[in-house]
Amino acid sequence: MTGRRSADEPPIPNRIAELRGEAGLSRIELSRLVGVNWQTIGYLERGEYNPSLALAFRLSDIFGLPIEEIFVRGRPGEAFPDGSR
Amino acid sequence: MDMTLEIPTGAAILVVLAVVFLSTVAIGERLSDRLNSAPLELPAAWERYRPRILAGKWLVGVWFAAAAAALLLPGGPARLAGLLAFAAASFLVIGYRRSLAQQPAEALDERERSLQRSIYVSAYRILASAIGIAAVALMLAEARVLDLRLLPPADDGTAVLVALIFVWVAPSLVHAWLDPRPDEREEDDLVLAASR
Repeated sequence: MTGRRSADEPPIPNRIAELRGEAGLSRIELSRLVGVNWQTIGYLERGEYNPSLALAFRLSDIFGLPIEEIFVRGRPGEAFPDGSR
Repeated sequence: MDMTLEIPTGAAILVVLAVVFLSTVAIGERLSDRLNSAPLELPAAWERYRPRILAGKWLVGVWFAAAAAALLLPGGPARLAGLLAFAAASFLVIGYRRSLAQQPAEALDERERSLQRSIYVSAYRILASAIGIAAVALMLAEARVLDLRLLPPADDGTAVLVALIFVWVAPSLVHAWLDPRPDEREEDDLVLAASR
């Protein structure tokens, strides 16, 4: 429980921390842009929370990238298609 | 088989609540992590003085200890101190700044709303189990399988009060127990600095 993904739900690796860094945004700034609590950004970055499709689209709009370039189906630590982690 | 059990009513209530609470959120919760408990944060007005004084799981322990003091201490100043400690502990649980349990859904984001729902599910499960255990004990006593002799509490009103306040604070206690350590703002700054 605790609002994190359930134990049997696999985490979805993502590049939010990397993209946030590239955009020069703090977690608080990004959280204001997408309308969530700033700690939710930490949960997302660590793969402890899988976002709703609506939140994924908001992140996609902020970073100017399609969802599939932010979230990748796979296991934690698994490489993205371009070789980055 | 006859079993004789002679315990104070207050202790019986507290033991049932504590056992059910622990079995539901501690043993039954796979994600619970003793070392990763959220520090308690005081109401915002006090934050600059002392933002964190207790970890969430300690808060649960303090609440049960204060409830035990209120129920079991003998009369006089000790009993008054126990009641005051119980009131203070209940205030801390409810005033716990990060407690999602008492916040309206519109003030929360999607992750927090999902967390709030699961907190209430656990709290209702705890209350239902406590009522179930009490009902089974009473049925066994009625069937004369269990010779249950509940010693009268020092004050019947206190036992009822503790039980009613537990119903009120149970969701906040569940959240205090399960909530992981929150992100530190400093950590966020470090990530940002490293990326620049």
